[in-house]
Amino acid sequence: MKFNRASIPSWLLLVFISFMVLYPLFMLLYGSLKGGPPGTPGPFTLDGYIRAYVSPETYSALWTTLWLSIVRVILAGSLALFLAWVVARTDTPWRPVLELLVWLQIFLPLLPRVVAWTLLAGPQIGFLNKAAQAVFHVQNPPFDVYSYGGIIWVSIFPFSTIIFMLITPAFKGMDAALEESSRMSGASNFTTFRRVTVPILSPAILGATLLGFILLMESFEPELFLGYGKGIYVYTTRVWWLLGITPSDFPQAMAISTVFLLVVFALVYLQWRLLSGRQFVTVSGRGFAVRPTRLGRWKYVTLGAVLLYFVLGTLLPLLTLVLGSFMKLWGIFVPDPLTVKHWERTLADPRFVDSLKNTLILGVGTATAGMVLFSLISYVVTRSRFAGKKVLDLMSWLPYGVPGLVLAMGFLWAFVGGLPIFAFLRGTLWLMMLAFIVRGMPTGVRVMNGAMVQLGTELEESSRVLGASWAQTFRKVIAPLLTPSFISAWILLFLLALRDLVTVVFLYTPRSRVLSVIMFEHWWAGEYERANVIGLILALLLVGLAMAARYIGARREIPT
Amino acid sequence: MKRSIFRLVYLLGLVSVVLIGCASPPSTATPTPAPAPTAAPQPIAPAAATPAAADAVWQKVIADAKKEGTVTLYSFGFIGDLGNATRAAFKERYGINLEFITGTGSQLLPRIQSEYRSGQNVADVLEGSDINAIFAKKEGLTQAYGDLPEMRSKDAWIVDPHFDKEGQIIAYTFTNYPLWINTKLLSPADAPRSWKAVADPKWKGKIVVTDPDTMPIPGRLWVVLTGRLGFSQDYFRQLGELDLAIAPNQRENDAMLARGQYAMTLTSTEVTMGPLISEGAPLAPIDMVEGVPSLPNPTVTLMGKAPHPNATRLFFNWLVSKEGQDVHGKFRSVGSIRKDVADYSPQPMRVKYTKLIPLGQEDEEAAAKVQADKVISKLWKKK
Repeated sequence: MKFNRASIPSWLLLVFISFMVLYPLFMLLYGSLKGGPPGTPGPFTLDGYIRAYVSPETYSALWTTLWLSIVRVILAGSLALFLAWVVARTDTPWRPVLELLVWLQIFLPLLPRVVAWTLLAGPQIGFLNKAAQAVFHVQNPPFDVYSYGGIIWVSIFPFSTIIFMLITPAFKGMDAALEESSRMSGASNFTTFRRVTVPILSPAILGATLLGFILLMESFEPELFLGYGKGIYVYTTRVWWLLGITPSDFPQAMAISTVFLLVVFALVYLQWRLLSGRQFVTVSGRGFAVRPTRLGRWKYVTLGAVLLYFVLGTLLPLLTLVLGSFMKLWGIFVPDPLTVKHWERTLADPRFVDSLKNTLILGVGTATAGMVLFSLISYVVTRSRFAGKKVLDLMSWLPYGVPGLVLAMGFLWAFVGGLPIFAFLRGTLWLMMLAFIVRGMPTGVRVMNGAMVQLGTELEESSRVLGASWAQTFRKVIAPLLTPSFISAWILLFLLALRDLVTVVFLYTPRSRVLSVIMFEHWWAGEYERANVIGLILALLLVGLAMAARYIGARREIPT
Repeated sequence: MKRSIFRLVYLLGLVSVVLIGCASPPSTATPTPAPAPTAAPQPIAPAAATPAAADAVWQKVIADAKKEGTVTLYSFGFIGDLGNATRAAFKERYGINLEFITGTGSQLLPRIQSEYRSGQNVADVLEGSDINAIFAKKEGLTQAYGDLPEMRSKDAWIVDPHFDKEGQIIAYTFTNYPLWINTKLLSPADAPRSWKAVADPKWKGKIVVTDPDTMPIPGRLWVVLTGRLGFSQDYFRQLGELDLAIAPNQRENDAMLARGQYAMTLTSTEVTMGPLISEGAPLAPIDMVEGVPSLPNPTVTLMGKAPHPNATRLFFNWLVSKEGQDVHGKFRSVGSIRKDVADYSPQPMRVKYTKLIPLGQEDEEAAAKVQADKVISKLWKKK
């Protein structure tokens, strides 16, 4: 094959991404065979793998994880499709407000959601149970949130929002002429949705669903708080247990994680197979219509459904979070239960201001630098003839191959215990930024891939014919069309950088402390109330920045 | 194209293998051997022959500590208000900064190991559960703290802070493990007064416990009840037949009791119950006729390659002093290991237990083994 000089930037990108992804992963592989970080004495051994795969607990946890994830991704995905369709393709009233209401959910931490439903549907003290017992005179409480049903119910709200965020830009960017043609040919609204809308948007839907599936396999809090005590163990709670004992059993945790790597490989292969040789262009050189589907009276039903979703998924946990920050003891009703002291003490914490500043730098830096990088990766993968583009695509998936808890250990070993050339990065926000960019890569690249394949090549070709350089074409033509997807992924990455602790705890120093560290300090100490205060501050911060990002994005979008 | 992709993957693999090879710094080629458990204490400052000489040695430690200027604690317990108050008080006394890197033992230990093995030592102190300190000591990551003036006294203590005979771990507080009840659901008069009575079938569905696979208290109970009090394994099986609710962490365990989801717990401590009782939660400890387990814990340990050893020793000395204990007790709402410090625990917790059963390092190692072998889990958790 002849070497093409124009492909040098793509090769450099591939080498950089491969190093950033493979270096921590190889450290993990090394650690799983040595039982510890570089420098651990003793021979290489497969002991961890053998122990993992002769244990029936491993198979039981993996099976539970698999079926729970499949059930939840079907439910959450269907819900997200419905919400995206209502918001982007129908004439339901107040659609911009509804979109915002659905979005808001993503900014709430998971724990208040779990606690809210514990207080509502817990078997001994749940408000719904008490009400049902009083009204229907039944002896046994009808609801039990500590169950498979409870885990599924609590999880589908946040995960449907994530999928919604990822697919809505594609729904919005679709030419309504396709749907109109379908309806003019006699198809109903539902048939049009099923036969036209969903298939044409399948790259975005498939990408978001696969991401949702992987995120659900990594889901942790609902399983821990609602399932653990009832003997419901999943892959993440098993890894949590293996890493939480002293000394932690890292080799076994990594061995179990290899299953996850296989799942990721399978999903990548599946995606390549399903999408190869098909066209998904919905944004082309000619103008396109975005006229909504008319629902008639049904528009009030769709409005009610989205509002109900907002109440159950956002309002309830939000009220729990707010109430929790003002209660002496969250979820425990003592005499005179309200107080403002948690707010006073949190805001008076001398570390608060510096941590807030670090948090903002880390969040904005990670999301912005990450998304620029992911857009380039996505461009090379979807729109170039670069020979290594499939390898690049695979690299961008790999960080999902191991759960966050384990990958964090890989960063520790690679950048703290590994090559001395990284010494200058230790303890800095830069290192945390790099780690988050790697962790957020699968999400960011998938979102951008979904959007890129929708763009027709004639837009780019026209620009180049008119004399614009590649950079000008990217900035003036491609980037504005990608803005909605860029903003969605930017917010998800920002969210990851603000909320994550498992990575931060291995890399931070007192100078680079962020708010999530203080939040989890309170959490470990059992001071859930002060953790709630920080959770609320982070949520407000996120909402504010997300609004600003959306506002900037809206201004940059090309009017259609 | 396929061939070039193959070549690229091959090349990347090769580069990564080389990098992994380079990743181990030369200093780690010879692993640090773990000290033998029976090794004699190795004080970092030689013991002085006379009180005057000892005083002179200590004055030098203080002077060197001030030059070092900082102590970095890898800590689970010194967080929030307690961390800030401790930092402020120590700074005011000696002008030395305390810097905290906080996390659970399972997060801090890998970080310490990684830094230690790559020669990037940041930690001066490992603070938290004695189980982590014992593990770090076995891994050869700690060193003896040497002669500390405040620790010389034989009769200043309610609970002796000398945790181990090698002189590497200091217990700066203690924890008792009685039975705890929700007083709205069960009056103290009706509560069981012996561990044996807790296994009565009438308590079925009324007890919450922490997870025996991840939390240490069930293992400690096992060691005390089977090892010291002669209970059989069957007792734990009987408990398992009471449909115990298993809480994934300590706060959930305590909250489930406080909310009234359950009437009793066998697995809580004064440290975690204190804040709930202070806020008015209807909780009370119950004295048990066979005795109540008591453990000198949490602990502090001096790290083997601590960058600020003198400042750390000065901090340890201050922490067990009257002033240090006063700050600690006040901000954690607990009693002190010292006789001359007030008890800051809330009134309902100031129980004078009839009999305390002290636990030590060997008991903790036995409890950790029970946990690792999932002995209790097999009896308590339903398949």
